Amino acid sequence: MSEPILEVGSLSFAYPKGSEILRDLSFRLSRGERLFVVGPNGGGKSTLLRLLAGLLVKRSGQILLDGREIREWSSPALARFLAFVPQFRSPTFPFTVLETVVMGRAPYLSRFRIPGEECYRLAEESLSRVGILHLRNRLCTELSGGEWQLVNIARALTQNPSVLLLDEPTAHLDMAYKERILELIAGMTKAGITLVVVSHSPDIPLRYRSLSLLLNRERVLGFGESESVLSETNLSLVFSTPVRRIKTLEPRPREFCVPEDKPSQDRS
Amino acid sequence: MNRRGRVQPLLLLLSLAVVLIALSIGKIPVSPEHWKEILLGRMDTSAPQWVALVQIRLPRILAALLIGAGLSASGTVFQGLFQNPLVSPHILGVASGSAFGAATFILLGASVPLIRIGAFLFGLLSVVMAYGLGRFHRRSPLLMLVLSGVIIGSLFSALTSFLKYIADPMERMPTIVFWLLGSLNNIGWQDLAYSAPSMVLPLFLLWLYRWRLNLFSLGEEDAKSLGENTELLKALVICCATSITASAVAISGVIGWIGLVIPHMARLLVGSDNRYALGVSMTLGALYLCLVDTLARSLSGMEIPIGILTAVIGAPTFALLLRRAFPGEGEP
Repeated sequence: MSEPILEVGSLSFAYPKGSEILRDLSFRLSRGERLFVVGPNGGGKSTLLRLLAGLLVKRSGQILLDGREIREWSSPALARFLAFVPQFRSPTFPFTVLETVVMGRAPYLSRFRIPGEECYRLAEESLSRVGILHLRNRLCTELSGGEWQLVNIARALTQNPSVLLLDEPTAHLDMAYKERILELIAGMTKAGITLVVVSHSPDIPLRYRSLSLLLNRERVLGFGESESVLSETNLSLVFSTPVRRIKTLEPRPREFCVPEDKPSQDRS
Repeated sequence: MNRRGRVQPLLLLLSLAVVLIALSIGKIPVSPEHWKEILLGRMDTSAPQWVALVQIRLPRILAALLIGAGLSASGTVFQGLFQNPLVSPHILGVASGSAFGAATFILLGASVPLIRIGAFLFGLLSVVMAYGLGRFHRRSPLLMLVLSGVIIGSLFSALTSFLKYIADPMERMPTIVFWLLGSLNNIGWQDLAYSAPSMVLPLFLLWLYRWRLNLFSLGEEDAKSLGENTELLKALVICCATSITASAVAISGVIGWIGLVIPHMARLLVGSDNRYALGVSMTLGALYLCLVDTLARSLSGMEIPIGILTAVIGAPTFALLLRRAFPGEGEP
């Protein structure tokens, strides 16, 4: 196995005055691997992502990025190595798309520097990578939810990260945008970016060759190939409701997860 | 980007014109012939025009420019910091604190410089109190800061009302009331010299940080994940804005609306990017206050309190701006 780019060992976390959310969590990722963190609402998925992004401080255990403990990274160096796209939040001020995306260069600029031509060029490059270069002069407040999410991903790419953390990147989006974002995720792996994606739907990891971490608060139900970790038994256990995996064969074999009908439910 | 680059120099030119007009208008008008004499160096320094110009109008106009620029800049950075376009520089209670400080010293019969120092110090004190109250576990969440500001602000407002209530209604109370309404009357070179450093330096610092301030508008967490030390930047912005606002209130009383309305106008002109918006906001604020102050001292024989004028002009302007900024939002 190649050198791990992200290594988590016996990680535990609790919010002040709160009960433990993560306990003794361990996993490792190599460069270019894709990890989906799957679990129910409130299961600690976003918390894990924030710990990895350095936005929360762990209680115990270790987080090694490129072999170095996360606490030893300076914040700008961390932001050059790792980018984080949080859950959907609408923009407050009408910045243009390009102005927003160029902010991804902040960790490369010293305190009083104003981004130069080069920064704007890199920002435009990320915009074309995401396929929304034509939106560059539009105001963020006037974009659709799907477009805004793409802007956020473009901003993260402008940081030129080795590791990209995405928190529910497809939530609130229609099917077409979901597909676009999933395509992007597939493309990023090819470009060598290591991905950690939070998702409460197991369908997405089942579609791609990927790793999955099944998480429900302090209980870790599995880490490994999505195909085997996201078994009916494991999913039923973690979501506390019977879950079935259904296979469709056309045009290519694919699996979906659906909650099992309860006999009491009224169906016509 | 080109169009936005042109706004700033245009505004500077316009400001220069307004300053020249403001200098010429007053009880002792300065005519073009006088200006010619001044430029040629032939004006007698004991001439009434020269005295009016240099001793009275110039410091007053410079103060107006500085206060206008300062309040607008503070408003712009606070709106960005708190991610709320309805925030004014007084959100953390500076104005209420300063008002209480001034009222206390007026009640004690202190001299004008002492009243100004009192206003400045109590303005700082109120923000320090709000910041302390809103700080938890070495962090200061923005919502807590705003709420603490409201709490401290209303506390000082109540205390000021109490001082007005107990003040001598024939003499001290009117002084307090007039001071609270705001005026640039009686600002001399000395006042300007004492208060300029605590406004100019923070203004310059904010201007240096102008692009980085954008990061806050993404939200505190996103700014952090872009490698920014948000606690430090937040403290710096609050310190600068407070120093500016407290100094402004100390020499001019409470002048409202500028810090709320001007940042919006700037953003309408050049967009939200503080790289342009901060400078334009400062220039626009300076221009606006200079204009309003000229009206305040020349509209009628009696000086109109400038706080009243900025509100009377500011409120409808703001209403118009909001209609322009959100067209169709109110339609079914």
